[in-house]
Amino acid sequence: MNPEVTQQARPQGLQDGITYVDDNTVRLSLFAPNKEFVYVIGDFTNWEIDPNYFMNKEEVNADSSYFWIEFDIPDPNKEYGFQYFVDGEIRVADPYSEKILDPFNDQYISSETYPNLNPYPEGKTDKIVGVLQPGKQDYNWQHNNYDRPDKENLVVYELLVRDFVANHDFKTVTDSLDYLQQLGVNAIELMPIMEFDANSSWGYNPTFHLATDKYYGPAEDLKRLIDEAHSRGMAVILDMVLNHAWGPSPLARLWNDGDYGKPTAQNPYLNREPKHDFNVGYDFNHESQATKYFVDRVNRFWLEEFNFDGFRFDLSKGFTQNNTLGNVGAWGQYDASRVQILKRMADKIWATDDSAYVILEHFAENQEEQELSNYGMMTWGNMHHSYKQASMGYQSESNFSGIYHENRSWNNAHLVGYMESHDEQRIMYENLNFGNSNSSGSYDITELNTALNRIKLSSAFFFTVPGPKMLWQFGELGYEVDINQSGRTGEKPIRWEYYQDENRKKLYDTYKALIRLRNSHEAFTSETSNVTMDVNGTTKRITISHPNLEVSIAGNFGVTDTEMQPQFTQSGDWYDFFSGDTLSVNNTDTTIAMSAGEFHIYTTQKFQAPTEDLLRFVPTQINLDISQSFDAASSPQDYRLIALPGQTVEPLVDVLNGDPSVDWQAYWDNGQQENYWVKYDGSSTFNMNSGNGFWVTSKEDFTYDQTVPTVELNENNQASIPLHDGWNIISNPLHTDVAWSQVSAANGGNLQPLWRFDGSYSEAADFISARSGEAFYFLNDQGLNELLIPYEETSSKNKTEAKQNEVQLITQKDGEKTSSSSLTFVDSEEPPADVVAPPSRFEGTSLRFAADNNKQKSSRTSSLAHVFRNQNKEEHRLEVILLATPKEPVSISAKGWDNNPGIQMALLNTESGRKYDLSNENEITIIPDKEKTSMLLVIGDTRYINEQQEELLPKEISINPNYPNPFNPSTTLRFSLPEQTEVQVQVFNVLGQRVSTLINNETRQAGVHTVTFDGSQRASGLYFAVFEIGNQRFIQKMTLIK
Amino acid sequence: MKRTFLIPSIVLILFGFLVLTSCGGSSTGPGNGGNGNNEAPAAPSNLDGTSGDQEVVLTWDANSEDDLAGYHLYRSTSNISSISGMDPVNGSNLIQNANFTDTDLENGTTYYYRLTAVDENNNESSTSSQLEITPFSDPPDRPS
Repeated sequence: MNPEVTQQARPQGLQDGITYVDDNTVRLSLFAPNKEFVYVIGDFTNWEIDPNYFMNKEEVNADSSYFWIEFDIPDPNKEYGFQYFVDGEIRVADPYSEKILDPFNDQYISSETYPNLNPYPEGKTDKIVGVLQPGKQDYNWQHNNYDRPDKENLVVYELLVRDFVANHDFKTVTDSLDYLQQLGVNAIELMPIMEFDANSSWGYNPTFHLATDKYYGPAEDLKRLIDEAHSRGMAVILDMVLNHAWGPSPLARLWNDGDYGKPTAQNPYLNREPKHDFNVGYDFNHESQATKYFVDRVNRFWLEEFNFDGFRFDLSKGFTQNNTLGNVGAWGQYDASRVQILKRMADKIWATDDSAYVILEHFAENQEEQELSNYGMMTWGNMHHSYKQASMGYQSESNFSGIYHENRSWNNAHLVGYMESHDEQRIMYENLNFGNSNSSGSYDITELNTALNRIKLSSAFFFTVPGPKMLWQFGELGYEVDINQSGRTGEKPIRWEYYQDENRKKLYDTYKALIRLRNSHEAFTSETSNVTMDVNGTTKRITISHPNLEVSIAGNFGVTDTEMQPQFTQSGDWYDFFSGDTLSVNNTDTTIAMSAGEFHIYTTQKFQAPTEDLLRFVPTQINLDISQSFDAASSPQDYRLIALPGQTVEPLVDVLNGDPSVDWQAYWDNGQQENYWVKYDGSSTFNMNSGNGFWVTSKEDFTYDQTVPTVELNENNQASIPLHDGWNIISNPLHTDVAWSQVSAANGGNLQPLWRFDGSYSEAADFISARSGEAFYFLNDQGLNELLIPYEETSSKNKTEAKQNEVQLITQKDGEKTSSSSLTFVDSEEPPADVVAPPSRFEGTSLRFAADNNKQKSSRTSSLAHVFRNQNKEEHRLEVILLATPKEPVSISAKGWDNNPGIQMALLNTESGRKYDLSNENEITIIPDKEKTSMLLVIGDTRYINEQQEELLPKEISINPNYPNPFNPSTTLRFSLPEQTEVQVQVFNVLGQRVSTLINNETRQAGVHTVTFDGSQRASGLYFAVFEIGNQRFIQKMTLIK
Repeated sequence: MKRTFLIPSIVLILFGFLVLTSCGGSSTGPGNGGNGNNEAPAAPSNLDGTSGDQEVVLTWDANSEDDLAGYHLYRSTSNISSISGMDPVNGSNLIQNANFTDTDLENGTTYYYRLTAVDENNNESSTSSQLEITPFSDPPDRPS
């Protein structure tokens, strides 16, 4: 028999739930209309019914009664499990429990996740029990003065603890805050962490609205997470579920059918039948006083106890008693009662914390959202579908202008716009599975890197739009796992390794750069910006005007290259954010070419560009304008190696002008040791394909001015071309040049050199794109079946120059590079074998290293294109040979030398002793007087170089006899100077008349010099060349015979 | 310029014993020119060439006349509208086989060829269609 219930008013101000009066005293109060009597049972009663724990009752009125009790707790530092035993039937935990023990789920929570978790009182009771602990230590907050971001500045990172860190705990999320801080987000939004049914869940099945779900670790760890986030300037927003409660909630169980069945009509919190079609669990009656009290308690608790910065309210459209079951459309229509419910709730929240965020997952009629926005609440702006369409390369339904609050006629930037939330299919999944491609397949959004680049494109049109923004976890790394994998709310693989992936990291860095840009100027966040979005078409633009910043964002969302007008709002200098380039705009209607997927953010102020190239706009087509002539087509030197880039299958006969064997001839190299020439036969061998090339000589120019599709790149951004063993004629099918060293590195690092032919062979440092029409020779001595060619957007030239410890001696004639020889310094006593230069009979102008005849057996290897020296030696002396047409100027320079301060490099003419300084990349010009000039390349300090020069210099001033003599019409005079001297050379006839001044008191360097007398305008006879050198005078007799 | 050529032994080799026994010295044979016949052979057909290094290898379909004596090949560096006044490449010796290698040509120069057939009575056919062809050098050697 139960004792008689004591009717007694609650102590003044006692609120529902658990109140610790002091460390040893607890008061419990349960709102339980229509209940007769309640015992408290727990560890302190050994789960027995104990009359000392029979609760008092205060009946305010018939449908509002409370049971309450005050009792002492033996040990304030111990946790005690307890339940209410109601009407002798229902064992239920307090609905305001901050911690519970669960008979089914707790056993699956490891001690790593939740250390020292008390076991469920197995065998003593059943159903969930609550926990009380009067002496529980308060969390010691470190960062109390946190100033949360203004609403319009928010960049929210939505995350689900379970699928964000493998340990599924707050502790590890805390450890990951640096990652989020680096990304630049200023808020994180936790999907529900209030105790929910089961362990693995999205959390939208709440059972105890004030308890922290133990599957994510202790509540203290959540507080530390929030504290640490605040210390990093990040707000923490809680995804709050108050549309409904789940079956095990005491709010349901006290008045329901069976253990977990539907609420009864007596239930003061929950509707027996839901009021709208999208309900899950048991629908709260938001008009009931009980629910209002509960809602306010819950919200206040998380703000005050956990310092949350605000809430995102799940399914807020369901906060209405207006019954729309069976009519989803009606549910979304303006509902004044719902607006009132939400305003009341928000007021209560702001009474606790006047800047707390109130974000609604609302999706109701614009008029209603407008009103809520005007009231200071924010709503979710789901723009997933349009961004997805745009990202996938489809114009249809790709207008995402609704991302901007003004496009919804809202006064305030209270729209939390997003491309992805937890609820949407990942756009990367859509890109990879359903993305568009161009007709050639060279641009294909289903390819990973292109798919990633499309996310960059979309995000440039997202983060830059004023107003709060949200992203879903790992979107910044291109997370692409199907939302339906393992069921929609099922666990998804966690892929932190994506951060190590170079291309995914570039997406992360792009997000980071965009968020940094957004935070750099209020034009990107402020309500005062004037934003125009022209985003309905394939090319999309956003212009932002702000009193001191103009922004133009232009993007090609199509899958083919195009041109577009960014629509600059003013002329003058604009800055391209990602490249850092300056664009001088004279005409605001300027049109720019845009590759598929290309985009630019132009601003009138310069913002610091990302340090790395994050964007890679690979054109889908290459516009070619090739023109190659073959001189007389009469000798081997008139052949050229020709090629076309991109994806081409062009029979040579269609490409070349005229007819084979009449106007042109072509050969292919089959790579064999002998009989390697395959002469043009009209077969498919002579199709110009991606990566191949041919020897061609032609009486007509090779011209090609068509547009070809670009080649496909593999996941490592490499093109691939086929190879056979031995010598190959190859071409670079990309539209960009790439350093051969890069190609070598991409193919194992030991490739033979690349040879270029322009009448003579030279070793090519760069694998020039075949858009030049050029092919190259390459010896495949490693049995490669294919050659991978890395696509480098940046200029390969910079890379070549930046290469350490390698000097390239380059000859140029008429501005054209004619040869390149390399000297590499290696940290080794035994450098690699030198590389033999092409046979000299095919060489034009070249500078080569002379081979050491002791080492090289055949004359074929008498010149070297690449030599290696020990970098630990300070002085070097190398014989070099300049081959060139006499009397024609040759420029020589040494690239890559400037990184050796204090040490000089010079060329010495071994005959004249003249010195040419190659330090600091000086370009020197030599006019050789014969085909083969022997020189010394000397490297060392000034003293060493002078010593080497002195050995070669003339010992005294001397004049050599002119040659030829007799002569017609010209003859050459040679004189030697041991030091720099002033020189005059005049020519007189037999009558003593001066007929020519060849050098008029000019200073000449030490060394041997030549001067030519041209007698073509003179009569036959005797002439005298008179030299005045310093204070000496020399006379040379010359005979002109015509 | 037309010239008379005597070519007995080569004809034997060329046309074989059948020709020798059936029409050697005979003037009969339907449709074919013969000794004492003023009818010229048909113009040679299918003149074709292969361009080589300083040379051109020419081929054509052999004529079928019984009294065929051989061929004259004419070459020019310009279009041949008429062979009148031209000396054949083969000089005074008629070309016996239906092919000819023209050597010592200049690479990169386009040559024009026409061919005639000549019978034993020194009747010369009209010219074949013209062949236009250019000798080209071999490409450069490989780099090393």
